[in-house]
Amino acid sequence: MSALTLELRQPLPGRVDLSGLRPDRLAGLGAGAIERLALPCGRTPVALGELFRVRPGDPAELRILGGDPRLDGVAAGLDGGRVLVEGDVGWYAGEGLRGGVLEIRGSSGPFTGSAMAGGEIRVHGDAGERPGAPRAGERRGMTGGVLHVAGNAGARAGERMRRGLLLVDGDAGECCAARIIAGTVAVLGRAGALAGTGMRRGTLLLGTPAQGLPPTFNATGAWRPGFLELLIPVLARHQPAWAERLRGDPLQRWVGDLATDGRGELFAPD
Amino acid sequence: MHLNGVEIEDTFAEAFGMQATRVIITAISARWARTAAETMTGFATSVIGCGVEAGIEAELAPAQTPDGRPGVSVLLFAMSGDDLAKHLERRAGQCVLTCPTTALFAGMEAGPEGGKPVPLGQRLRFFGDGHQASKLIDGRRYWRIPVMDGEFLCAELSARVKAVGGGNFLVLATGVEAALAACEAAVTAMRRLPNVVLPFPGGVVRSGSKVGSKYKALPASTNDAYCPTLRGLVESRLAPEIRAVLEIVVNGLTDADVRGALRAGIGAACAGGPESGVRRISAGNYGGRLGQFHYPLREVLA
Repeated sequence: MSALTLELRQPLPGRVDLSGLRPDRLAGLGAGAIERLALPCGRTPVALGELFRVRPGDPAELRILGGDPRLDGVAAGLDGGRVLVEGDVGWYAGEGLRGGVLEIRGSSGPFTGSAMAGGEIRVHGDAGERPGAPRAGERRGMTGGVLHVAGNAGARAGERMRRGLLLVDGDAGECCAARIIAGTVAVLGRAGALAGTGMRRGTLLLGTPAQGLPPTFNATGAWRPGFLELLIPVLARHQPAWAERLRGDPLQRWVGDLATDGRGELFAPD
Repeated sequence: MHLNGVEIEDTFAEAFGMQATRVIITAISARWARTAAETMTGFATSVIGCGVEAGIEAELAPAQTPDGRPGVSVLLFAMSGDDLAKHLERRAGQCVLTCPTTALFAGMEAGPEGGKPVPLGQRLRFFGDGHQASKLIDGRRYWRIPVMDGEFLCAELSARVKAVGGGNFLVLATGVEAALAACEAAVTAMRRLPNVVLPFPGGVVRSGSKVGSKYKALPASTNDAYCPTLRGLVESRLAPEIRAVLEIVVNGLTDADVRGALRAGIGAACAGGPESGVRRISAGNYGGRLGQFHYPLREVLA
């Protein structure tokens, strides 16, 4: 069975919340019923059929053609199946993802993969600020899964992460991996100022020499940890450049943030 | 029945159900991986005195190990899951954690398809005194324990499976040189096979045992029927020309693994024919009452 396809008919009238549109909730609905679904849009809900042309198919394989930076909450809470967006998405894409795959062939807004707990998100373009981070007022960041941003990521990427893997192929904004409790953040490009600020445990891996670290990080010298040989193949599966970038040589290591627990670590090449 | 002119006695080897696990030790060089593995599997000949029976299964090339370094795979066997966990942890802590540059990985998968989990780094981590860190990579947890050469990397869990211990055969020869040469050939052939280890020194046992003893405290004692010096004193099983008997004991992950190893071993032991001095192949059993696994020699070779 082919994918259930939603094709954007027209520019959106405002911000549209797609967070209710999950494969498990669409299962068993015909094209008509799907078109009648009300999508929150500002103060007045709008019927899905008005915004999207629906081509029926398997809802476990959802394709959204023609994105829009005002399309919020795409694949939020996804727990299996596959959602593919040909275009940009707005805020909270893949928020609280628990399983399955969300692929965005465009860029995503702030809070992409916010507090995700499993599954995989791949953003082909850039991600806005705070990918993987908790929503304002929430305490939990990512607790599992893989969040891969092929472009650049905004500020505070991976904030408050506890488990899982956040990969940024381009540059990351300031305070990336801020306040992480554990987990792995890997930035192939440059990380902005104060990377790892407030981190308790966990690993921040940089593909370029470290700059502008918080003053509460201490250098521990050059070293090549054994677990890297297990981690590099995982990173390289998502971005092959990692294998070359971290090949062979010892890495500089810092521990921090000593203003908190101080059991986190940051690795970067010379 | 004769194999290459060597008589195969119509008897069977009796083996027991055990619990087994496989671990993989890697190090900076094959030599150091082997050093750790030999230490870990030293003093692991018989559960009677050592608590666990263990041996090196194979040397692994860098491409075959989790971290791309030279390695060795080790199999450990015990009478129960609890025994296995206890001795595995003790040996991992004393022999692998301590050995320069090593890392320790699970050689078996836990899970519905695989075996039950058995702790590897789960408690060893406390050696880190609070500085230990875990890393979850591809769904598996590893512990990183700071040590003086860097970090000891250790998988949190391995898995254990039901296995078979105590498969054996006896080589009866006209002299100890002949018996030993035949056993060495058998050991070489058997060690090429996966999923089996020969836990005794060099793979060979000279002190085959029978169940029980005249001394109340001993559960096993010398197999007098096969001791050449007791001929004329006890009911001997040895023909007049037999001057030495050696035994090979094999533990394997499955019944088929033990069977295959026995076949390979007996074949190699008999390869020289009677002229080599090897006259008869027999096996140790307890009348079939104690072990769940029986290996009739003639059927194994058929």
